[in-house]
Amino acid sequence: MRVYTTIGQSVTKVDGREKVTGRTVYAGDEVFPDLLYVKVARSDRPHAEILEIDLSSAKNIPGVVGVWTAHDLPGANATGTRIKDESVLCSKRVRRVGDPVVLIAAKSLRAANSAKESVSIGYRDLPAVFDPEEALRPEAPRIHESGNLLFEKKMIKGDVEAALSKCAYVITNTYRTQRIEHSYLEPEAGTAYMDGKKLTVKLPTKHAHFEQDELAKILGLDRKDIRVICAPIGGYFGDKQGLSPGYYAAIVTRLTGFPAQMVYERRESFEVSTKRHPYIIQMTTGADKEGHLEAVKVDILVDTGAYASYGPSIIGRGVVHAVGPYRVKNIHVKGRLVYTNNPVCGSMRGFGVPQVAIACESQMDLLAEAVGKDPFEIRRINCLQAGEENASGQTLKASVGLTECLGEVERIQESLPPHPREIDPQYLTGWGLAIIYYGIGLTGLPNPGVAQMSVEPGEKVQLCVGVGDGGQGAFTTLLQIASENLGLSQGDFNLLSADTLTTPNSGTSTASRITYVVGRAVTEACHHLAGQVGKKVAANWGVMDLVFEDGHYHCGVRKISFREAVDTLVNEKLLAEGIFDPPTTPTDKETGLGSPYATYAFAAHAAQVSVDRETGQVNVLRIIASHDVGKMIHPVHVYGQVQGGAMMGLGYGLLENVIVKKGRILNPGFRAYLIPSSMEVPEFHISVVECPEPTGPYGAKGVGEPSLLPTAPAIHNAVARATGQYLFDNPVAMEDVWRALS
Amino acid sequence: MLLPKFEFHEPETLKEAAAILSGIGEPTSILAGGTDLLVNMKKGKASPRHLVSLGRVRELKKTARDGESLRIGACVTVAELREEREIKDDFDGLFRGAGLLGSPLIRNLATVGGNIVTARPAADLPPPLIAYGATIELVKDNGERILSLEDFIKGPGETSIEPGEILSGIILREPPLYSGGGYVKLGMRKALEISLVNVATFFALDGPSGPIQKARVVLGSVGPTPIRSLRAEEILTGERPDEALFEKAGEAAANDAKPIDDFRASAEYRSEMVKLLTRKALKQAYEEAKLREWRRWK
Repeated sequence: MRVYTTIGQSVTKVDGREKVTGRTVYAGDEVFPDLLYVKVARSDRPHAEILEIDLSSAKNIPGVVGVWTAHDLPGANATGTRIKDESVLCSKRVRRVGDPVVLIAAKSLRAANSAKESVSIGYRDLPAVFDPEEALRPEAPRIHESGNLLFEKKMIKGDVEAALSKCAYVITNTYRTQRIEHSYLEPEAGTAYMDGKKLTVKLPTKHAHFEQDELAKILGLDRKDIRVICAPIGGYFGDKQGLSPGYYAAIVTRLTGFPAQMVYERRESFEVSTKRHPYIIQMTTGADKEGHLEAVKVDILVDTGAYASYGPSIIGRGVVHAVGPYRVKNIHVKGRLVYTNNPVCGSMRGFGVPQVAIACESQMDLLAEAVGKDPFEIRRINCLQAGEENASGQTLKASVGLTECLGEVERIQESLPPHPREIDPQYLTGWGLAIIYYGIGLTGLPNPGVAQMSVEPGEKVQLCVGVGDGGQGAFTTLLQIASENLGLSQGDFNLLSADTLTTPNSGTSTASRITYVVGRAVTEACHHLAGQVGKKVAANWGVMDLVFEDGHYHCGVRKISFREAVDTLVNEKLLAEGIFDPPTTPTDKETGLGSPYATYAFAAHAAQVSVDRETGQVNVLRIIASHDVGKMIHPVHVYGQVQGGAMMGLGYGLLENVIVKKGRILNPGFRAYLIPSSMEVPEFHISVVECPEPTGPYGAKGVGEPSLLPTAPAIHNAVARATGQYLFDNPVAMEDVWRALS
Repeated sequence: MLLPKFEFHEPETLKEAAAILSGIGEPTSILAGGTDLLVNMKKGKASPRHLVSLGRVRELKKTARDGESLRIGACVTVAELREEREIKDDFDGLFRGAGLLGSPLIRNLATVGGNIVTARPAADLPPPLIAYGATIELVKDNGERILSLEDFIKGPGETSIEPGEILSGIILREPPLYSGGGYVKLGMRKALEISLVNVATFFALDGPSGPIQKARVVLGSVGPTPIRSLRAEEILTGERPDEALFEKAGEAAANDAKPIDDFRASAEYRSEMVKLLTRKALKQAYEEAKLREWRRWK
C-alpha cells in the first residue's frame, strides 16, 4: 500500500483556529462608518394582485435614505438558479407569503425596521392553490403563465407492466414526505460596497461566479464591474445561492453609492429561504419468488412552491436515484414538479434523493418480509456490483463498495451487546437497515472543476479555487491534496478561494463534488506546475530524464525538493491551471437513460430504535454507518460528515417539519421547529470503506450528502421492526406511532 | 435583532425595587432571568419603557427553611433550585420539573419566580408547585400579600399581579411524614422542549401504606392554566394507593383536561397522555413517599 505524508491524516483544520477564537468575519459582521442597513417589506398574502403601494410614511422616518419598488430597480427584475421566474421586487403580483415588494435602506437598523413596518401595500387576493394534486387540475388558478406543471422527467427501461404481471411479489405503497428547513447557524447575510469603480459584494455563497453573472443582470452592470467574494460560510447544507441579502445590499449600493448590509432575521430566513421538497411517491416493487427485483415503477409528485428555484434539477436527480442502488431490468419512473402558492423549495443536502430513499428502502424491507429473507440478504442479492448496470443503464466500472458497506454494518451489529432497553418492558426495540448510492457531481451536465496555482522564489505557493468552505473542511482537504502532490505542507500554501476577481470559476459547491471534482483539478494543477518547475531543473542540470516523486526531482543520485527548485528560479513566476470535468453523458430526453455521473458513493446505515409502548415516542439508540468514500483524505472530516449527516437524517426521519397552512408557515423558528438536540445523539459506530475511484484525487469520491441519506429510511425500518407496523409518512411522528400501536 | 430602547434600573434591595416601581408611572417590566422577557422584547412582543432588574437584590436569591415551611426566593435560578438539598430530599416532583425545564443554559439563567409570573400554559414549575400547595408572596411599596399559586395564574401570560407588585418568594409547607410528589413531562425531544402534556402529583398518606389522606393532581399544557383535577383527587382520597387506583385517577384526570388540537398533537392524543402521565406521576409520588420513609429510618 502506498504511504502518504498527509492524505489520510487528520491535519489541523486550516480555518479552525480563526473560527473557534471568534475572529472569523462573516458577511453580516462587516463594518463601515457610513453603512446603510437594508430591509425588505414582504407580502403577507399567498397569492394577490398588488393594487397600490404607499411609501409616504416610510420615507418620512428620520434616518431612512431610500425606499424603492420594482420600478426603481437598475436592471433586470427576474432571477432564479434554473429558471428566471422570480422577481427581485414584485410589481404586480405576489405568489407566496414572503414575496419581496419594497426595498428599504436606512442609516440605522431601527429606522430600517420602522420603515418596513410603515410601508402599506394594498392587495386584491387571488384564488390560491396549496396542494400539488389540485394545482394540476385544469380549473386550478395559474400561478405562472406557463401553467402549474413546471417540469416532468421520466426514466424508462424495459417493460415494467409486462414484468410486473409475471412477478411473484408485487408491493405498492404511497409515501409522503415533508418540507424541512436547512437550519444553518448563520442566517443569510450580505454586504456590498464600492471599491473604486467596482461594486463589491461579500456574501456566503455556494457559487460566487454564478452570483456575479446574476448580479450583473440585476444591477444593469457589466460583470467586470462587479466583484463577488464568498464570505466565510456559517453552514449552508445545499442552500445559499441566488436571491439573498447580498443582492439587496448590492442594489442599495448601486442606487446610493454607499456601503450596504442586510442580514435575515431567523424568522425571515425560515419564511423566505427554500425548503426540502415534499414528495408524494407511489412506488410499486416487483420481484421473483427468491426476491430478485424484476420491475420498479415510481410516480413522484413534487410541490416546488411558488418558484422553480432548483426544482427541475432536483427532480432530475430524484428520478435517477428513485430505484436505489439495485440491479433492475424494468423501470418506469415519472417525476412531476408543480407550482403552488406554498413556500419555495429548493436545493438541500441530498438534492431530491432523501425522499425517494425512504420509499425505496421501506419497499425493500416489505419485500424482505414477504419473501422471508432478512434485510441484509434481500439487499445483498439485489445490490449493484462493479461491472453491473444501474437504473439509468450506466455500467459502474469501478469503486462500488456497497457489498462491503453492508458487510461492515452486519459485522458491527452482530458484535454489539444487547442494549439495556431491549429488556425493559416499557419499550419495543428494533434494528432497521437502509442502503443508498449517490452520484457525485451535477446530473448529466458538464461541471468542470478548475484550480490555478502559481509559485515564485521565496514566496508561498498560491492555490486559487473558486469554491468556499461550508464548515465541512473543503479548504483543508484541497490543501492536503496539493501538499501531497508537491511534497509540501499546509503552511507552504496561500489559499485564495471563491472570489471572482482572483480565483477561477470552479463550479458550484453542490452535489458532494468539491473533493472529487475540484480536488482532482488541484491534482491536475499540481502536475502541470511540477512539470514546469521540472523543466527548469532539467535545464539547470542539463538532463533529460527527470523524475518527480515524493516532492523531489530525481535524476540518478541527484535530488532536489520542489521548494528548493522553486527557490532557484530567478525572478520568475510560474503559473499552472488544472481542470477536471467528470466524464458524463446527458440523460436521454425520452428514456432518461445515460451515464449522468462519473462516480457514485455508497452507504449502508443500521439504526436501532426504542419505541415507548405507551406514548409512541421513538428514540434512536444506536446508528451504525458504513460509507464507501473511495479514499479518506481527512478521516476526522469524514467522520464528522457522517455523524452530522446522520443527525440531520435523524431530524428528518423523526422531528423536523415545516408546517404550512394556506401558504403560511406555522412554526417559523427554532421554538416550534424542532431539530435534534445534543441529547438526541445516539451511540455511533462508523466504518469507512475505501474502494478507490480511479478518476478521483487519490481515489476519493464524496461523502457530504451520502452521509444523511440512509438514516431516515433506516429509522423507518427500525420502527417497523419494533412495532410490526409500517408508517408511510415522514417524519415518523410520535402520535402516528402511538396510533399504530393502539 | 435589537432590543428596543428602555431605561434600566438596578435596585439593591426589595424595598428600593418596590419604591422604583411605584414611582415610574410608565410601562415597566421586571427583569429576573430574562429568558422570556428579553426574547419577547427582541421580537417586539413587549416594549417596556423601563426595566427594573432584580439581579442585585440578594434577599431574593435565598432559600430558607424554618421547620414548618421552605421559602424559595423568587430569583433563585432553576439550576440553583436543583442544588438545594431540601428540594432533592423532600420535593421530588419539583426537583424533576426543574430538571426538565429548557436546557442547562436556560436553567442557569431562568428563575423560579420568572417561570411563575410568565404564566405559560406549558411551564414546568407551576404544576409541581401547585401540587405541593405553594403560596406566593407579592410585595409592593406600601404592603404585601400572600396568596395561593393556584389562584394567582389566570390564563396564558395572565396573573393577578398588580402594577407595582414584585413576586418575592414562594412558600412550600413541609410535606407531612408519609407523603410524596411526582412530575412527568411529555415532549417530542429530550431537551429544550415545550411540553405536549405534563402532570404533577402529590399525596399524603395516613400511615406507611395508606389510605390517602390528601391528594393533588395538576395537569399542565392541557388548558389555559395548570388545571387541578378535582375528580382525580376525589377518587384518590380515602383509598389505598395501588396501580388500579392510579389508573382510575388517570381516567378521571383526562375528563378534567381541556386539550386542544394543534400541529404538534391532537386533542385526542393529549387526552390519552393525560391518563398515562397521571398514572406515572402518581406512581412516582408513591415511590417517593416510600423512599422518604425509608430515609427517615436509615
